[in-house]
Amino acid sequence: MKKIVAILLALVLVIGLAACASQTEDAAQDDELIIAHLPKSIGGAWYTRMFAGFERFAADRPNVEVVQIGHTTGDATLQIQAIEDFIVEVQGRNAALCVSFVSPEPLEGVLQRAMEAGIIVLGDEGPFNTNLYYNVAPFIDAEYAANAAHELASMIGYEGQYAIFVNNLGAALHVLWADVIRETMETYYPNIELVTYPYMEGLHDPQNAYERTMELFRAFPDLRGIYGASSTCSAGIARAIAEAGRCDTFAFITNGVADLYVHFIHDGTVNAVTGWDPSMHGEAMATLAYRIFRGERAYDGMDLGVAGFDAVNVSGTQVTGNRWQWLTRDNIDEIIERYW
Amino acid sequence: MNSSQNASGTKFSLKSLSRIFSGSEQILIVCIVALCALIAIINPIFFSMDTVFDMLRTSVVVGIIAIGVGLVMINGGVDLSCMSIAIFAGYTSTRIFVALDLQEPMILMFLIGIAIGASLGFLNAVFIAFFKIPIFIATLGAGVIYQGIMLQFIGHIYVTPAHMPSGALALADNTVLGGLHVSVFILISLLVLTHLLLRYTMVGRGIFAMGGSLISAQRAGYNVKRLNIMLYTFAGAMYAIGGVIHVSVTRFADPSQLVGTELVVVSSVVLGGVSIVGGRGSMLGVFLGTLLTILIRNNLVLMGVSSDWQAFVFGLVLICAISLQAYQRNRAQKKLA
Repeated sequence: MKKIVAILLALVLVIGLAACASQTEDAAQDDELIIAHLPKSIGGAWYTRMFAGFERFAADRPNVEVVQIGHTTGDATLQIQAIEDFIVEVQGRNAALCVSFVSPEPLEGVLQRAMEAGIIVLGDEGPFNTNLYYNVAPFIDAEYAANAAHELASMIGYEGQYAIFVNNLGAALHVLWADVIRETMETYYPNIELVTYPYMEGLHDPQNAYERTMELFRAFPDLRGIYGASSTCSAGIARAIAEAGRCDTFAFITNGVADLYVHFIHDGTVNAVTGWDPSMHGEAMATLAYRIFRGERAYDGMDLGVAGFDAVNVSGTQVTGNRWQWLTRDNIDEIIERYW
Repeated sequence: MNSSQNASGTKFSLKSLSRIFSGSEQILIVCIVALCALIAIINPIFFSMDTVFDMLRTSVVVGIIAIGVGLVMINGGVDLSCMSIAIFAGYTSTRIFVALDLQEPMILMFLIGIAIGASLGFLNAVFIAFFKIPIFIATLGAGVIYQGIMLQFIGHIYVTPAHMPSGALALADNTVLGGLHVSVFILISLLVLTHLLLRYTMVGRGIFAMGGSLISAQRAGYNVKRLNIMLYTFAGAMYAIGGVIHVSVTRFADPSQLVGTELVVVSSVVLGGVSIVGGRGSMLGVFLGTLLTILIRNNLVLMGVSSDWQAFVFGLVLICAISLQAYQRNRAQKKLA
C-alpha cells in the first residue's frame, strides 16, 4: 500500500514538474523576448497593479512573454535566489529582467552575472546601482518629496508634530524621500517637528503599520500629520487614523495605488494619494526593455508611449518620467474611471 | 485581631490565586504588571482606558491564531502553516462573498472561512498522521503549498475597501463600551471554549497525553490518528476565524498579508508557558503570552526606543521573559526532587 502511495506521489511530482516546464519550454526564436518582473513581494496591491502594466504591453505582442517571478516575502536574499533561478531558466533565450529592489546594494553581484549572461536588466528604486542598463523612475524623487513636504506642512497649519513611515530602513527610495521631506521641513518650517527618527517602519505589513500608528498616537497625542511612503503599509495607517477618530483633524499623505485608497480618501482618512500609477511604470519598463532588445538606447525626450513617460529625462543610467499624481477627493474618481 | 484577620485573608487569597494560576502564569502576570509600570513611569500617557482597549483589540487576531498554534504545541509540534491557512480562509471567503455579490451576513463569511480552514487543517493532519512527516516540516511545506494554491487558483488581486462586503466593514467599526472592539469577545469566547475542551474532555486529555509521550498515549488507548485529525481540523478553524477577522478589521483583503508573521504567534505561545516539546500549557497562558507580546511590541515607541533598535529590544525582552519562566520551572522541579 505504502509503495503504491509513494509511486503515485512520485508520478504526481513528475507530471506536475513536466506541466510547469512545458509552459516555459518554447522554442527560442530570434525575435522572441521574455520579460520578467521581480517585485519586492508577489501578491501585494502595488506590484499586482505594476505587473498589469507588463501584461498590457505584452497583450498585442505575440513575440513577448511577460512573467512575474519572486516570492511573497519582501526579502533581498530571496530576490537574489529568484534572479539566480531566472538566469538558469532563460539560458539560450532572449530575456529581460525588471527588478523592484527591496534593498538595492545586495543585488549588485547577481545582477552582474545576469548582465554577463546577456539579460537586459532594468531597475526600479535602485538609483545608485551600476549593474543594470537603466534605473527607471517615474519622476525626480527630490522634487516629488519636497512637494509632499510643502503640502503636508500646509495641511497641518505650518506647526506641530508629524511622522514619516517607510517600508523598511533599507528601502533606499523610501528613505531618500523621507530624508528630503525631513530636510525640507527643517529648512522651511521651523515650527514643525518630526517625532521619530530614524523613521517608522511598516515592514510590508499593514497590521504592523496599524499597530505602530496607534502607538504613535499614544506616545504623541498632539501628532498632526503622517507621510506614508509604502502603499501596502499605509492601509494600516489609514485604519488607525479612522479608529482613533482623527479623520477630520489629521493630515495623511501617502504614496499609493488609487483604487486601494479611494474609500479612505472619501471618508477623510487620507487627504491625498501621491506617487504614480504602478501599471504605467510597469508598462514603461517593459517598453524600454523591449526597445533595448531592438537595439535602441534611452535618450533625452524619448517617448515610451505611456502617460508620464512620454518625454523621459536621461542622466547616466537614470531614466526619469515627468510627472507624479496628486489624487484628492476632487479628482480620484475621475482618474480611476479613466485609467483603472 | 484585625491584623491577623487581614493576614489570614491575604494568605487565603494568595492560595486561591495560586490555585487558579500556574507557576508560569504567575510569572507572566508579574511580567505584565512590571512592564506596564515601567512603561507608565517612562511615559504616563500609557495609563488610560484607550490603551487597554487598544491592546485587547490588537491581541485578537494573534490571540485567536495562537489558540490553534498553542494546541498544536501542547501536542508536541510547531505549526508553521497557521498564517497561510488564516489568510487563505480570510481572503477566499471575501472573494466568494464578492463573487456572489453578498454583503451580509458575517456569520456566513465566518462559516465559509471555517470550512476552508478546517479542510486545510485536516490536510495537515493527513500529512502528519498518515504520512508520518514531522509536524514542523509538514506544516512548513503545507503552508507554502496553501499559499501557492491561493495565489494560483483563487487569485492575487486584492479586494479594496470599496469592494469589501459591508458586513465586514461593519464588523471593523463595531465597538462597545466606548471603544472596546467586539472581536475581543470572540477571542475570549474561543479561549474559554478551548480551555473547557482541553481540561474537561477526553480529546483534551489525549492532546496532553500525546504531547507528553506519543507511545504512552497510544498504549493508554488513545486513537492517535483520530486525535490528530480533530486537533488540526480544530486548529485550522481557529486560524480561519483569525483570518476572517483580520481581513475585516484591515478593511481590505490582500493575499500577501499575515504570512511571515508566524513568529509573533509562536513567541506569544512560548511566552505563555506552553512547552515547546509538548505536554504542558494552558489557554490562560496563551492569552497572557499574547498580551505580553503585544504589550512589548506596541509600546517601544512610547518608551522612546527608535526604529532601528526595536527588533533588538523586542528580542531581548522575549529572551528575558522566557528565561525567567525556565528558571522558575527548574526551581519548581528541584523542589520536587
